[in-house]
Amino acid sequence: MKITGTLEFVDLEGGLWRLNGDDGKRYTLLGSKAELKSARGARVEVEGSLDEGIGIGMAGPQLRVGRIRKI
Amino acid sequence: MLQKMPPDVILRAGAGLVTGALLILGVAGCSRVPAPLMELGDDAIPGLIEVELRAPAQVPGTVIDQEEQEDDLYGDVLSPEWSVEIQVEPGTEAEVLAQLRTRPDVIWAEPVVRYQALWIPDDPDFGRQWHLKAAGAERAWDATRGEGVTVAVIDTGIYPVDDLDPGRLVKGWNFVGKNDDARDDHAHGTHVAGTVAQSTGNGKGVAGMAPQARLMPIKVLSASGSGTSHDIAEGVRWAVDHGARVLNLSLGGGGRSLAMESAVAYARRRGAVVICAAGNTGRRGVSYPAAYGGAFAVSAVGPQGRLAPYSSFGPEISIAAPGGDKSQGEDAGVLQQTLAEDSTTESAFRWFQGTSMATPHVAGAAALVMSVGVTAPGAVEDLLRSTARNPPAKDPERYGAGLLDAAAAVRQATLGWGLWRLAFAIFGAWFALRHARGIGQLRAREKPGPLFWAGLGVGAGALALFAPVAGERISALSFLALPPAAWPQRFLVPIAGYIGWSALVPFALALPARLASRPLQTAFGGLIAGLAFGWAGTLLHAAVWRTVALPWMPALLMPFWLLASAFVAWAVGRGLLAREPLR
Repeated sequence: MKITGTLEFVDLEGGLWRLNGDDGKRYTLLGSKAELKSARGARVEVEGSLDEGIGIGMAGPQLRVGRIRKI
Repeated sequence: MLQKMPPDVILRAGAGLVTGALLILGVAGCSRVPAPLMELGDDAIPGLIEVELRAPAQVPGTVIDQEEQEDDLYGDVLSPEWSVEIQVEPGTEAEVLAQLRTRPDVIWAEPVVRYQALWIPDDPDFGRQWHLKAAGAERAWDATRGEGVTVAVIDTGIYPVDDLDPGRLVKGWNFVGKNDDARDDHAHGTHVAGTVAQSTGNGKGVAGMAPQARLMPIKVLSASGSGTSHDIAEGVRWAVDHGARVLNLSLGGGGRSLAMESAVAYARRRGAVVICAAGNTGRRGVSYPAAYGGAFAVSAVGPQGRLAPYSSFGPEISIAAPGGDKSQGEDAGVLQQTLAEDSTTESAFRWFQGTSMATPHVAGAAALVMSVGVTAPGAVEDLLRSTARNPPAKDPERYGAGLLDAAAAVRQATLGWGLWRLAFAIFGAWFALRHARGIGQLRAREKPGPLFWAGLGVGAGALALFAPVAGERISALSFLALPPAAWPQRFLVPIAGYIGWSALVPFALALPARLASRPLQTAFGGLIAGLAFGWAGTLLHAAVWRTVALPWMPALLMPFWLLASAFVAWAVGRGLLAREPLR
């Protein structure tokens, strides 16, 4: 699935990457830190899969990042 | 020759018992001789004075806090007083105090003093851990530091950083890699473990809530900080089956999983408390597993005790604990040692915030309470709830029962419940003595001696009064905080350890005392009889308050087992009072 939104770093639980989706939802992103860092604060399109798992974020659905690009 | 006891002798014996009880209670602080009033000294906080007024009135300095006292010292609820805290110019306190004490509308005035715990750790950055003090750890350490309890950290694993004692890390399991290497590769789990049991008093780094507790690393989350309901459920069951009695789950998600729900229920049934993070949405809606019935859900507060902006809340919240609020600055977070950023081998002291950080404060407090002999999960939870401090607002959805106070919970489990055990023991002894005299098995002039009362006190756990001083000097003496019925649990293998919660020990001690020669019987019979009555008091208390869980016994049967055991222990003591030579 593809979701667009703004990528932000949240100082929670030692650091989380969050996508504030254009659909109004907040997604906790799971993926390469280097890739996520390079797009910090930018509007991005994330291609990936919604993770069924449970994690440390506890702040909304988890999106496992396959590909991320700035838009 | 058998003689019926004259009623006045029974009355005198009763009065003697009551006096003895009051004396023992007095030692515990219930009928203390008033000490001199607080005066200015090294402990006084500069410029702060507390005044109690008969009615609102002008006072010198700046009023920083005031409230109407309805439940005052004298119980005079019909004419409430005003308690006022004032700030005056430092250096003028003596003059202001003298002036206040001459006023007729002032009931009393005294400097505000800083109370200190007996044991203050020498970890250099302990002073920056506001969160441990807010959770009441410091004052709880006077009685216990979590000895004998295993806390499972079900998380990203635990990395053996240098401020974690490797001797207290027990074998865990990695459910992500399916192997026994449960080391952390993220930093989250190690931080959480640090809050539970960072090495404390080692002159290094920071402190943890229950520094003598054992830590069991259960890795169920990958390096990205996520995992599956299957692995978490498996991790919960594995931890309980391998001896963990406190489970810390600083994780969650929005989806309900039956596998996880039944694992939580299993853990609780097997005698473990399951402490879970409420979630970080900042909105109403507690995440799973915190929202399951058997879990103890924790919301997060900042340094002022107000709900942190990120904390989830809802009707499932059990208690609130410090999780940090870095919107007030970096040092308003929770400080522990963990992996350095972007490293899987280097360590660093880092400030984190989240409901994950609040949860291990509660897990540590649960370990402290369990280490003083409270092993039933329900009793641990009730104790933490009932001793919680008042939150800034009465809002159970945000704060549950209130703000965690580990010291108050430990105090209640040792001193508060200790007094009940003593009271039960003394009543049992009084009843047995009366009965023995009534049927002529004991002569009126045969009064229980000091050894009898010493045995009764020990059996009922009165040695806990010495635990703060003894444990401070020699940690091996920390078992004194437990009633003797719980001693075997501390020192023996798990199964044999539960023999304390039966009448076996007093019975085994009574046999030789009963069969011994007359001089030995005289010397030790009273001691063992007293011990048996004390033991009976402890068992009766455990039955009524339901404080103990035995892994192989259904919770419903437990009170009956304890009641029956209490009766047998009492009968053992009563049997020792029957002296055949008198017949």
